[in-house]
Parts: sequence; structure tokens; C-alpha cells
Amino acid sequence: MRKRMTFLFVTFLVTAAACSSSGDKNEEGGPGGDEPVKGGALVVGLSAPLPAQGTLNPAVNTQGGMQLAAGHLFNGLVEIDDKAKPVPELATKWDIRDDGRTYEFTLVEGVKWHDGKPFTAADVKFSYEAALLRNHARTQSSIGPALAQPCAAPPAAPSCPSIEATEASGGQPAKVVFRFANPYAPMLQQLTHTDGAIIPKHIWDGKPPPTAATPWPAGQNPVGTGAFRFVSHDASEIIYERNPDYFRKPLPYLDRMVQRVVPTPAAQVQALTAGEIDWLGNVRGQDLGALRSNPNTKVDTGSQSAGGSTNCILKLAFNLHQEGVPPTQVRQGSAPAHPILGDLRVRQAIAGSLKLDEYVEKVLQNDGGRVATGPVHSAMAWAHADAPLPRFDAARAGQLLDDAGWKSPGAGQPRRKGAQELTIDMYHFAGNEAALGTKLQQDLALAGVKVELRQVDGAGKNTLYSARNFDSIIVSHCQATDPEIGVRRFYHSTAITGAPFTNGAGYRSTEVDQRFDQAAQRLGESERGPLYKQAQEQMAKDLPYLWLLETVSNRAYSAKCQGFQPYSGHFADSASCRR
Amino acid sequence: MGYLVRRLLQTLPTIAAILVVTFVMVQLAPGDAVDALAGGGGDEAYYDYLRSYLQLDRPLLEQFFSYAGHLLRGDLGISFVQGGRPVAELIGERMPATLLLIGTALLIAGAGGLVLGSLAARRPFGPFDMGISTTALIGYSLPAFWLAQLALIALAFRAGLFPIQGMTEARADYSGLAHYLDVGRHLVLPALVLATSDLALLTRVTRAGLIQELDRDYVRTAKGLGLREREVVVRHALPNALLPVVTVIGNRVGLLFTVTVIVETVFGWPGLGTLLLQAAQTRDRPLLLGMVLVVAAFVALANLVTDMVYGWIDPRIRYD
Amino acid sequence: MLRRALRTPSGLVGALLLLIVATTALLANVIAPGKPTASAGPSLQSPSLDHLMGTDNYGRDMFRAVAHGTRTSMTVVVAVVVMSLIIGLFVGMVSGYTGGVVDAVLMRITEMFQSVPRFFLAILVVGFFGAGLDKLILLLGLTSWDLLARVVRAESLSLRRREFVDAARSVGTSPARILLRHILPNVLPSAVVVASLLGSRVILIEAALAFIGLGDPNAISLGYLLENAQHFLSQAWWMSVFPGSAIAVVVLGLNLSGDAVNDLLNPLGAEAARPRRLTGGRWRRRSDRPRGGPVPAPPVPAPR
Repeated sequence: MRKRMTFLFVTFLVTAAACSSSGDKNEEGGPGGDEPVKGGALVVGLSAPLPAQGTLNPAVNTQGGMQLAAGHLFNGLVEIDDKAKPVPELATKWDIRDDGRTYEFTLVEGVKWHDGKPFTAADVKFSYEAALLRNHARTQSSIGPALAQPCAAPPAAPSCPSIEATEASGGQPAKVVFRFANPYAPMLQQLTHTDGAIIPKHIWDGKPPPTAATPWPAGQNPVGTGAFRFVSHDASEIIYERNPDYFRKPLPYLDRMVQRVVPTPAAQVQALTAGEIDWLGNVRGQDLGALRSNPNTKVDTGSQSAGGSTNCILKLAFNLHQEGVPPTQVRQGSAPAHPILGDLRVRQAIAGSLKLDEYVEKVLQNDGGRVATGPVHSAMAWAHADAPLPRFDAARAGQLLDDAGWKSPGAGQPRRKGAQELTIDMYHFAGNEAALGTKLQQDLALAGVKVELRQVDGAGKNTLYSARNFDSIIVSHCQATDPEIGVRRFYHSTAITGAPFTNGAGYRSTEVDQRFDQAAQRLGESERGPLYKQAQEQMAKDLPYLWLLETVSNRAYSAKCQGFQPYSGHFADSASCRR
Repeated sequence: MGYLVRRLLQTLPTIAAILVVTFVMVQLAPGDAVDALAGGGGDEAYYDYLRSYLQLDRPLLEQFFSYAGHLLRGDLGISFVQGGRPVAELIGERMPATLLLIGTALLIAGAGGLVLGSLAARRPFGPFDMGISTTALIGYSLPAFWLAQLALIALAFRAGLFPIQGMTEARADYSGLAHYLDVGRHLVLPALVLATSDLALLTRVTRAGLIQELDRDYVRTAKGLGLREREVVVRHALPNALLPVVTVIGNRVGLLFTVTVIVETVFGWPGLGTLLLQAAQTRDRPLLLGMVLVVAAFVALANLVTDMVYGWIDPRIRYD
Repeated sequence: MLRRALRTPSGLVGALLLLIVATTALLANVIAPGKPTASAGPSLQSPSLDHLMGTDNYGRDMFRAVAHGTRTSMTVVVAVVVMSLIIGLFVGMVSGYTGGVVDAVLMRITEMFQSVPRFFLAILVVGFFGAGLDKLILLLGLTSWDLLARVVRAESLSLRRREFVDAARSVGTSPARILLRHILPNVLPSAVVVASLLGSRVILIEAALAFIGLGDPNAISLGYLLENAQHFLSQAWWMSVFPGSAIAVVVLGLNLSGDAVNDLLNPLGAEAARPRRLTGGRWRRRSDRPRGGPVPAPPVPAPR
């Protein structure tokens, strides 16, 4: 009897020990880990405002909040992993021919849309020709001009002769071919669900193609190929359910996902800590300490992020030309210089008045970001140059302003040139941009430059670019993973179009234009890198922008959940939660 | 009846004032009226719609009447920012949540104020009274958003007694009774915070009014006749003290809407307050205009109802 | 009148609080010298001898920020109150004293402004014209005078029949002079009560507007400080406690002072005759009831 009891007791102990040690692993980022628990719901916390109902179409709109919400519903041809390398998605493999002038993608077989219809090559062609290359701000200005033959612009019917779609037949899988005029290096970096979302052609059969104003036909819910299907969208939340036909079996593990708006940042962190929500995509620096030390929450940091925000630099854009002059005139070169900021000495003085080493603490609250060291993000090491930007030197800054004619009437007072006061306005979004603006205002006040902060929203900033009625704008410039995609449009003179997040400064430099043009026509990093570095040295001399802070994205999630891919908009595809 | 009609007519100038003020604002804003309403967003189709809605090619007075006509018929325009949905629809779908919150808060403030004020008035300047009166004074002076955040941290976050955000639990999918209980659980803290200022004020007003009433001869007579204190207070003195209470509530509706915006924001309550905030952040001008009109109409209505109730309670007022 | 108000407990405390506020606002540059926007030290320091109220996330000294913030907020309050007093006194006195058609018209106009939701209008203004304290002052100053006008009108109405006014009229004094020399001084106390109530509402509107992110980012006001503080609630309690207390002190001071003056103006029984009076706090003792004074109005039978 006693032996049996002892045996049972020991068995019990061993079993207990085994049970407690397994199922304990929580992976930070990356799919896999221990046996994922199937089922359950994930609650994602969003900041206000929730994307408007009926607008979830990432092929026609680059608005960050909408891209974040809609990303789970769609796929692109090729995704980017956490090492910024392309991985197959709706395309199983790709063939690059003619020195990079021809890209052939072989498509996955057996994919179904959320409404059950089969996915075809015609859908890919339609997505590019009717939506992406006519409405998507980034794609239409990068892939669009590089194609061998231009696509038809609205109001003509959509047509892109340089994109060929071949359906599957006779054992051969479906394929799509893109033909470019010159070798096009950055193609594979722009095909994710944020820049190349594939939308279903059959939804728009017999209807006008989608635009930013009408992303879906009236009454039509979003339909995609993604891991999650759209269920409902009301005032405070968007609900998704598992797509049982997702082509990446056995994903997703979760049954439901709810994206809910929590208006104040403090409440967001509290709700996460209390377990009311499970994922926060954007956590400010001051909350990281508490979240890291709390056993119920985990933090992940990276410069690659969902919603197309990868490799971002916070910078200050100067308007180099007089306010209100239309972009076309600026592009032609006939716009007069900005009375204050047109003078290089003033821009250098402004740069020299900033105590940048304080910014990581006082603006970013030590969230992992750091001071920028050049116009191209340091994550793209092959193209990044440590360009010599002016460092803090109050005396020299004062001297430069004196030379430019701005005299100081007294300590802490704005400088004057005759009757005119040295005042500039500075537009910004809320959040980090607002914090940066306040710090800039603080530092520049000491130099005798008065800054007037003006907070705007998305539409407000877009108007600034098209009307050019600003002195300076704070921009979070997200450069993606290749300078051709994300950097060129801020510096090339052809990019002075008035479209948002383009060459807002109105910078025109033939040297820089040449370098970008040459780099666009080469394929290898070793060939393109030095060209970009030369361009940056020229930019550092001209100072059209001030490159201030390289920012990172901090996301926090419940310790009960694992398997996230936080660097992507598909962060919940392989996630699972123990409840 | 005549009184009712007269009072109704008195609300007309108020509505007219709101219409004029908002119309003037649209005209004064930079750019023309279409720019002012579109605010930088929108495409050609939307501009065309706005042009026909505003009748820009007509003289100013006709524009105003067309504008007023739209609004009084309930056509508050279309919001481009919200994907082309009618403003009236956007406001209508959020209204119930806010009405639930305000109604509950008024109930708490009214009932609580009457009870606490009565209890305090029984022994003026006694310890209970001093305690209540001081608390009421402080509660009345605290800024609502401060109180909301403090309550959130103390009662919801630290103590875990209440949920932190929202009107429903996000992870679950309740229906029927479970849903109502869920909403009720989320309602408690926001309603309490919203009610605080008015609760404090009503306590003070009830207490003051009741003290004054209890001093009157008829009360002493009644007590002398042997009626119990509670009966005297509840059946005779309290209704007389109701007059200032009614005045106070009626006057505070406007402020209540203001505080509701704050409370809804802090607690993530999906009502008109959070909609207003979203409209302001996205510069959704048609929606902003629509909301100001709706709130003004509500306040005017509240004033009207207050006067009705007042006139019913105290017939002398009708002959003002 | 003022001295009698100071003798009541609420009057004394209220006046004291207001004195603190006024001193801080007027002497902000003296008691907390330096620009409030300037960086004064490391960020998020808790209160210490160097920084009596700590520092905020930008390294700004909170004591300086609160002092100058009080000044900014009080500037808004005073400006709006003055504007409302001017308009309200004018409309109220003219309306009450003249009577007749003028009175009817002016009162209709006053009613128009009664239901105007000021906070929402302020949000509308920000949505159309952008944020700014000057716009807020203008808006609030032009739309907040209705209660003042009504109260002043009621006072003027009763004053009109008083003997000294009759006497002045019979001597041939012009109406304008009568208004200025005889009516105005007597309506002023009631106006002051309403003005204090108005003031407390103004500061709460300014703070609430800044709190939801629609305030003026170029002016350090108490509302701005509270908005900034909400992002650091768990890390830096001092960022929100001190500005919040400052607002509470202002509101409390205004309420108490207004109550004290109001109590003196409204003897027992006058409440029923002025149904629209808002403040009702009465701190009277039973023994204070005037003996042989004005007889209270006959009680209204309790409604069923």
C-alpha cells in the first residue's frame, strides 16, 4: 500500500513538474514557438480616429490608420521579413530577366477570396492597373514611371500594357510579368500588402474602378485573400474573423480579432496592463519601463513596422521658396526664394541651435530611437552616409544670423531685420511630432527664432503640400527598405508635385538628381551605394531639411499571447493566445 | 396651454441664433464656403454636392435660407471624411450611448442630491452636514477631466473594481441579458464621474432650500400637530425645495454636454463626445456643424422642459 | 458690502484663495522668473529644492509653468469677464430701466444667446479657424453675457421705482446719467456674483478645450499643462497635481466669493421671487433670521 502511494505521489510530482515547464515559452516576434493554442479572440488597441466605414482598401489609399486596420484582410505578391528580405506571399517564386528589366512572378494555386471566388492572375493585373498605379501615392510614383510603357491615366479606362497576366492552364501555374524601361532594382521591396495589395477584380465588374473617394462599391464589404475576414465595423471597433480558407495553412490560429479605439494613450496602456486589450501598436517611451517590468506584458522594438512605417526619420522640412507659389512654378525654377529660410546661413544657424543629444530623452523619452546621422536611414547601411550635419554651436549660430542680417534686440527675444521679426510657423501632427515641435520651439527661442506651432491632421498636411503655404513642416519620413522607393521622392526635383510627402522643400539640385537617376538604373548595392552617399553629402551642404531623429516603433502585447510578427501589418497571422 | 405655446415660440430665436452663428462662421472661414466645409479633403463629386447644398451662386440671404432649410429638415449634409455618410446618420447612431450616459448621471445626481441634501439639512452645521457640505464644495470645484482620470486610475486600474474603457467588453460577444449587464458594468464609473459636479451642486441647493423651508411656520405647525419628521420633510418641505433644484438642472444641461465630451474621451465611451473629438481632430466640418446644432437644440429643449416643469410646480411663474 | 462679505467664512476663504491666485498671476515674473518654456533641468524630476514642483518631460520647471500658466489662464478669464460685464451691464441696465419695446427686443436677443453651447462653439471655431487663445477670448466674450444681462435687468427693474431715481428724474437728469450714477453702482454687486460664476466656467472651458487637444500650443496655460501631463500620469504625478490644484483653487475661490456676496444680497424669502438664481448655498444659522424683518411669502401648497 505504501509503495503504491509513494509511486503515485512520485508520478504526480513528475507529471506536475513536466506540465509546469512546458507551455511556458513566449516568443518575442517571429512565428512558431511552442504548440500554438487555437482559437480565441485578440483585442487590438487603436488610437482615434477609427478609419471611416467603407474605406478599408489599401490599394487606393496610404493613410496609416486605414492601412493598419485593413492590412489583415489583404496580401501582396511578395512580403518583407524582419531582415528586410523578400519572401513569397501570393507569388511563390520570381524570375528576374534582362538585367532587371523583366520580372516574372509565379502565383500560388488554390487561393480563394473571402467570398469564395477563386484568385486569378487577372486580379493582380487589375489591382495594379485600376487601383495601385492610379491612386496609391507611393506605388504610382515609383513603379508607375519606371514601366516600359506608361499606364493609362484617369479618366481613360484602366490599362497597363507593361503588365501581362497569364492564367493557369495545362499544368502551368498562373503568372504575371512586369516589364520596365530600365533595370529596376527596388521592385521586390514594394509588393507587400501596404504598397501592392491585391484586390478582387470581380467586385468591380461592370462598375467604375476604385478611387480614394469610393474605395468599394456602395454596400460592399471589403473582400481580400488575407488571414482574416471582415465581419463588422461600427463606431468604436472593427471585427474580423478567421479565414478558414487562408492559403497559408494552418494559419491563422486566432478565431476572432477586434480592433477597438481607446482614445487616450494613458487608457491604452492601462487597458493593456489590465488585460482588456492584448496588443498596442504604438507605445510611447515613457510607458516602456512599466510595461517591460510587468510580467503580464511584453515589449517589442523595431524600426520596421506595420502600416508601411519602416525606417522612419523625424525631420524638419523648410520651404525654400516663397509661400503660396504653386508647385509647378517651383519645379520649373521660377519661384522666388523664401525671405527667411531661403538663406542657407539661416538654415545652418537653425541647425546649429539644436541641442540634439537632449532630444532622445526629452522628445522620444528614451524609447530606443536615436539622433539621425544622415538623410538615408542607417538601417540601410549600404546606402547610408554619415553626412556631416551641423552640430550644436550657439555662438556660431548667432554669428550666422547676424551675418544674414537678423539682429538680436536682447536675450531671449526674437531677432529682427528692420521691422520684420524672425518668426516661422511649424506644422505637425500630434504625438511625437508635437513633442519634437515643442522642443524645437524651446531651443530656437534661445537663438532668437520665434516658432509658431500649428497642429494639423492628415487632410491639413496634404493641403500644405499642394498649396505650399508653410514655412516649415515636421515630417516623419518613412523610407521603406530601398532609397529608390522612399528617399528619392523627397529630394528629386521631379518630385515637386504638390502630392503629400514628396519634395516639400522644393529642393532642386542637379547633382543630387543625377545621382538618384544613375542609382535607379543599376542593380547591385555595391554599385548604387556610393551614388547615394555622394547625394547625401551634397544634401548636407544644402540643408533643404534637418534630419533630426531616427525613430523606432515600440509595440506591447499581453504575455498570454505569442507568435506575433510585429514588423509587419500581418502581425497577428501566426499569433495565438492562452487564456 | 397659452404658456406652452408662448414658451415654444421663445425657442425659435435661439434656434435662429445658432443657425446664424454657424452660417456666419462658414462664410468667415478662409476660402469660400465650399472650401470651408470640405476643408482640404474631398473630390470633385463632393465639391459639386457642396455647391448645390450651399447654393453659392445665389445671394447671401438666399444662401442662408437654403442652409437653414436643409438643417431644419434634418439634412445635415454629408461627411466626406467619414466616407460620404450623412451627418444625421452619424450623429443618430451615437446618440443612444450618450443619452444613456447623461440620463444615468442625471438620475444619480438628482436622487443622490435630494437624499444627501435632505440628510444634511436635518442637522445644519452638525458633523454630518459639515462633512457632506465640504465634500460637495470640493466636488463642485474639481475639473471634470482631472476627476475622471483620478477615478480611472484609482477605481478601475489600481483597484480593478470597474472596467477601464469602452461600453462593452471587446473580447466577448454578448447578447441579451449578458449584454445589458456588460453595458451596465461599463456605465457605472463614467456616469458617477459625470454626475459628481451636479450631485455636489444639487446637494448644496437642496440642503439650502430645505433648511429654509424647515424654518417656516407651517413646518413647525405640522410638527406641533404630531406629524413625524420624515413625513413632514418628504411630503411638505421637500417639494417646495424642488424649485431651485429644477432651475439648477435646467441651467446645467449645457455644461453637462460639455463634461460629457471629456468623460466619454477619458473612458472611451462610444457616444457623441468621442464623435465630436474625432470630428475636431479630422477637421470634419459638416459633422462639427451638425453636432453643434444638435446640442444647441437639446439645450433649448432642456430649457423649455425646465420651464414647463417649473410652471407646473409653481403656478405663479406662469403669470410672469 | 465687501467687509461684511469678508466676515462670513466662505467669503474669507474665497477672498484668500482669489488673493493667492491674483498675486501669482500678476507677479508671475517676480516669484518665478525666467521663461516657462525654457528647459531648466533634466526631465521628469520629482519635486525638490531646486524645482519646487518638479520638472516636466521637456525639462521645464513646473513651478514656473504653473505660475505663468495661472497668469495666462487668468488673462483669459479676466478678458472674457470684462467683455461680458460691459455687454451685460449695458444690455441689462438699458433693458430694465427703459422697459417697453426696447426691453422686449433686448430680452429676445438675450434669450438667443442663452442656449448657445459655448464649449461646442469653441470646438467649432478651432475646427474652422485653428486653435488660439485670442479666438477663444473673442468667442467666449461675445456669447457669455446673457445671464449677466438678465440679472442686471431684474435689479434695474426694481431700482427704477425707487425714490432716489424718481427724484433724479424729476430734476431733469438725463437717463444716461441716471444709469451711470444711480443704477450702475447698485446693480454692480449682483453683477459681480454672476461674473464670478462666469469666471469659473471660463477657466474650465479653457482647460477642457486644451485637454482634448484643441488648445493653443503656443501658450502655456493651465489646460495645456494638464493635457501634457496626461501622458505621464504614472511617471510624474506632479505634472498633473499642481496645475489641477491651481484650477481647483481658482474655481473654489470664485465660487466661495460669489456665494458670500450672494448671501448678503438675498435675504430670506427673496428666493421665490427670483426663480432663476443659480447659486443657492446658504450658510446661515437659524439665529440669523431677521426678526420682525420682511415677512416671507406665503408658502406654496405642496404640489401632488
